[in-house]
Amino acid sequence: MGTGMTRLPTLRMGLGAMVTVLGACGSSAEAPPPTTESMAPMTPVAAGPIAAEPPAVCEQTPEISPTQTARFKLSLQAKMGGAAAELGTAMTATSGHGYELTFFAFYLSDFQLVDQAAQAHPATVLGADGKPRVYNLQLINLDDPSSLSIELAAPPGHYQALRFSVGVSSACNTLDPPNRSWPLSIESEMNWGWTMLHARIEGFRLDPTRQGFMYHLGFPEEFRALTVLGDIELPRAASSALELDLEQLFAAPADALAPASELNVADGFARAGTFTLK
Amino acid sequence: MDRTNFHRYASPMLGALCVLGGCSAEPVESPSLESALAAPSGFPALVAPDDNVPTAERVALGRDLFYDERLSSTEAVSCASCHLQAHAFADPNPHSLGVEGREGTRNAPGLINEAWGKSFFWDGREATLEQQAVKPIENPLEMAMTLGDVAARLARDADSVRKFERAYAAPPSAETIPKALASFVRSLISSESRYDAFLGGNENALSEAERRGEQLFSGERGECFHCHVGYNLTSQGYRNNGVLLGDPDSGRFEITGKPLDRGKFKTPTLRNVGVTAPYMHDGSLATLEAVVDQYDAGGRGHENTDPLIKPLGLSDDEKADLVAFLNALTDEAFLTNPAFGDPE
Repeated sequence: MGTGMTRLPTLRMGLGAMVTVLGACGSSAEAPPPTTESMAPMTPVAAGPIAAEPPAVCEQTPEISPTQTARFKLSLQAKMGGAAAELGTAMTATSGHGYELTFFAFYLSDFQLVDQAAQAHPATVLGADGKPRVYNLQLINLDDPSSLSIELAAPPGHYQALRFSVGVSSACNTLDPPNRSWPLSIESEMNWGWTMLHARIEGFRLDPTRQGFMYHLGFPEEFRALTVLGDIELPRAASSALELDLEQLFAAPADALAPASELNVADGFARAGTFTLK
Repeated sequence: MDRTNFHRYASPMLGALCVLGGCSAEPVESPSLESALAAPSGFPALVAPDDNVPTAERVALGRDLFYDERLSSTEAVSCASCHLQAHAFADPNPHSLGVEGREGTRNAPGLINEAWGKSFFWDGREATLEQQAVKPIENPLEMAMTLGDVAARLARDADSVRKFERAYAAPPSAETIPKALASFVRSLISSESRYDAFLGGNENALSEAERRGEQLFSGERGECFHCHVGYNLTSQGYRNNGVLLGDPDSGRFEITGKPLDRGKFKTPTLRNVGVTAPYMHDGSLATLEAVVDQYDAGGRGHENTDPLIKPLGLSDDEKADLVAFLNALTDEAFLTNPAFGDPE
C-alpha cells in the first residue's frame, strides 16, 4: 500500500463512500496507484430493494451444484436501538419508541452472491447437517436460536453483495398444501391455510400505552427481494454477521410509531440499511 | 421403515419360543408390517416411527389396552375413563380424575388426529405418542402404576401374551405397552365433519348460520384462523389466549422456563369441539358460548395474554353463528366408530 493511503474498510458502503475516503486521504500527497483488491474494476450494485425474480419452480429437494464448492456462514442478529432483540423483552428504538415482540419469524429464500461484474450467482441454503434445505429456503424464528445460523453453498469468488428474498415465492406457495414439508407445513405457524406468510410479526407497542399489534405479510405484493452490500471473499472460514435493524420495519414515511400497513413492513425489510453485513 | 431387522429375527425367535415355552397346537402367525392406517384426503402423509409401524394387530392390541383397567393400581381406571369416545376421547370432567378419585389440575384433551401431533400434553412436554402413553400410567394422580407392574399383570394373561407376541414378537413390557397404545391413538383419525363436506364442494353441508359463522372464523372479525388453521384446525403452536389472571398453571413455561411462555398452552384442534366440553387446559369454560365470550372480551386478564387476543365486538347473532359453525365441526362417524370403542 502507498503512503498516505488509509486502508479501506472491508465493508464497502458503495462507490460514493469509497470516493469520499480516497478524497480525504489524497489531499496531502499524490494518490498512489490503487491495489487490485480495493480498486478492482467493478460494476457496483446498490443496496436495497430489487425486482424479485425467484425461480419459477420450487425445488423440494434442491441439490448443491458442482460449482458451489465454497461455504458462506452467516449469523443473523436482530437488533433494535443497537441492542440484541429478544422476544418478550422491552426494547427501545433510536426513535425513543418502545416495542416488545412476542412472535417474529420470516422466510429467507433465493440467495445469490453478486460478483464484481454485477452478475448474480445462485447459492444453496444448507441445513445443520450440511445438506440442502427443503425448498432451498430457511425459516428464521427469533424463538429458535438455531434458526439464526445460515449456511450457503456458493461458487468461490470475490463478491460485492449478497441478495436474497424475504418470503416464500409464488412457485413454493402453489405446492399442494397438505403435502408441504417443514418449514412450509401448517405447524410452522406461518400458514394461512391456502398460502404461506412471508413474515409474521406480533407484539406490543409500549407507548403511549401498551397496545398489541400484528403484521402478517402474506400477499404476493408483500414479498421482497433485496441487495445487501458486503466485500465477500469465498471460501471464508469465519462466519459473518447479518444484522437486521428491526426499527426499520416499524419506520413509516409519516409515523415512526406505527407503520401503516404490511406493505410498509415489507418495504422496511428491503430498505437499504435494514440488513447489513458485518 | 426398517423391516429387515424384524424379518431377520422373527422366524428363528418364534421357533425358539415354541421350543422353550411349549406351544399350543395353533402356531403363532407371522404378523405383517403393513400399516393399517392411511391419511385422509387433504391431510399430510401419516408418519409413524420406524420401530412402531401401526399394523392392524398393534392397533387392536392398543385398543384392548386403552380400555383395560388393569393398567391402573386399583384396576378401576383405564385410559378410556378420561378419554371417552362419545366426547371425541375428551373428558367431560373439568379436572380429570384418577384412581380413588384423585383429582388432577388439567382437563384431559380429546384424542383427535394425534398421528399428526408434534408434541403432547397441554404443555407439549412429550415429543412422541410412545413417550406420552407412559405418563398417565405412572402418574400417581392418574393410574399410579409402573410399566413394569402393568407388564407383570398382563404377562399372567395368556391371551394378552399371545396378542403381544402377534403384534410385536415380544411379551408385554415397558417398551411394547406404550407402543401398542400409541398405535391405537394413531388410529383415531377424524376427517368427516359437515365442514369437511362443505370444503369438499357440498355447499349444502352447512346451514346459512354455520356459513356465516365460518366467515367470522376465517375472516378479520373472529380471526380464529391465525391459530386454528389447516387440515386439523390447529397450527399446534403455544399461545396464551387470555387465561385467567392469577391462574396458577403456567403451562409451557414449566417446560421451557422462558417468561414469554407463561400461561401458554398448546393450541388444540377444533375438530369435534362441540362434544369436547368443558374447554381450556383446566376445563374452566363449560360451553362454547363461554369460550366465544372469552375471546370476544379479549381474554380473562392474564398479564402474558397474546397480542392477537383483543375484544372482538361481536353481536349476539354473530356469536350464535360462530357457535353454530363450531358445532358443524363434529364428525359423528368418529364418535360412534366401533373400531374405536370398547372391545368388550
